[in-house]
Amino acid sequence: MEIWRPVILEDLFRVFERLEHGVSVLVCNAGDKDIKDTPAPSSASAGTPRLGLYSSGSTGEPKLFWKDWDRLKRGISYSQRCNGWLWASPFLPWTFAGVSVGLQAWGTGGGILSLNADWEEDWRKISVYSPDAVSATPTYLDLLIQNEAGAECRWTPNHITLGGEPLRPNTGRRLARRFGSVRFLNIYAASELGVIAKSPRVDGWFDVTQLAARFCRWRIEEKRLELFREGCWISTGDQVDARDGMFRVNGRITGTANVGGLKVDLNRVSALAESARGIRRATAVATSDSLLGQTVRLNYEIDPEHEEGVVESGLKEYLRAKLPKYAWPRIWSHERVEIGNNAKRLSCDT
Amino acid sequence: MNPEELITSLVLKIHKRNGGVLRDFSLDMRLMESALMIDSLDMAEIMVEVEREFGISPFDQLEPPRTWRELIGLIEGRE
Repeated sequence: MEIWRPVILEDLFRVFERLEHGVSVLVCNAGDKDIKDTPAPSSASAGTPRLGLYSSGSTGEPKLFWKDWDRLKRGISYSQRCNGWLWASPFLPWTFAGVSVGLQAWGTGGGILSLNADWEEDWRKISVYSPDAVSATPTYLDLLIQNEAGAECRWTPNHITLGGEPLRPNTGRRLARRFGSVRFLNIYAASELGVIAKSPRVDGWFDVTQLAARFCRWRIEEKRLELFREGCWISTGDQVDARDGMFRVNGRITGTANVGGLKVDLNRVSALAESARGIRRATAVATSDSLLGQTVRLNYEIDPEHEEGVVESGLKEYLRAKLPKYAWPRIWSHERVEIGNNAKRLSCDT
Repeated sequence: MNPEELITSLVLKIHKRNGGVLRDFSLDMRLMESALMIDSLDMAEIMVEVEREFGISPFDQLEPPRTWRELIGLIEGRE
């Protein structure tokens, strides 16, 4: 087995070549120096190499997934229309989404172009290379078109794949208006479950027949989507709305927030806040945000023995030093936290 | 505080937090003009304050603002 730390999506092609030569590969974040050499578990098919990826999955906690290379390749969509396409994407190469778009490009004899939310640079690359297709989160694409002024070209790809976070209706409308007749594909997927549903709609809704096509059983209970696989029910961790044979993903149930496609462990934020000086209790929750999909709201209670202003400014500095930027609470709410039913924490504004 | 004062104050506060040295900026600048050193996460922070202060969610509008002047205009149009 080999460990690879791709920096850009283009590096994945070399990973795929290793897999084609029968070598199992563990793909890691280039910044993770503590990854230990972990032997790949036995493949379902003798002689089939496996690709290992760390993903936060449905829990927000990093978890290692191994996927059979042959099975991964079966996910490539082959069509004369998309042979040789240049795909552009801001997805990171050590993520499931990054590997998916890289594999699609590699498997169809195409190319891949890494984008990174540096809008001037991304538009420069788009102007120079004019990618045929793009795979991105709705938030990334929405911001890309918002920063289009001054771009040297009026770019219209042949195809847009959206994924990584729920597609909000107004975002979908803006994308559809900007890209006109482009073919959209909204993909709902999870690392441990693979592709769950696909839809050409830009309002975030999926047909429930998509679930039946991939899972022998599925259910939505109290807005939680669960799927039946290999003899047991698996929670997607997502909250969904359902109506008229359709369903739409609203976001994570609890425990994690999806901030612009990046998962935040809310329990960890809560624990860190409670370790800050002068904070008696704290709860981090996900709240919807029109720009990022979700953001973190921190409800906190100050120990009455401490000065409120000093504690609040200290808390903000403390969390900003301890957490990555996307995990910083954007809403700070000083309130009274109480114990509710079954001793679970309730919070209410003062 | 009127919209222009709040927006200017927020932008410069975050700009300074990110290591910037500007003391003023043109309202005709794009929201994430590179000189302002504001990324999407900072933008979300600003929009939370706008929503809290003025009850409007700029990026939920069908035509979201592209410049700071357009954002202020959107807020003033709602007041």
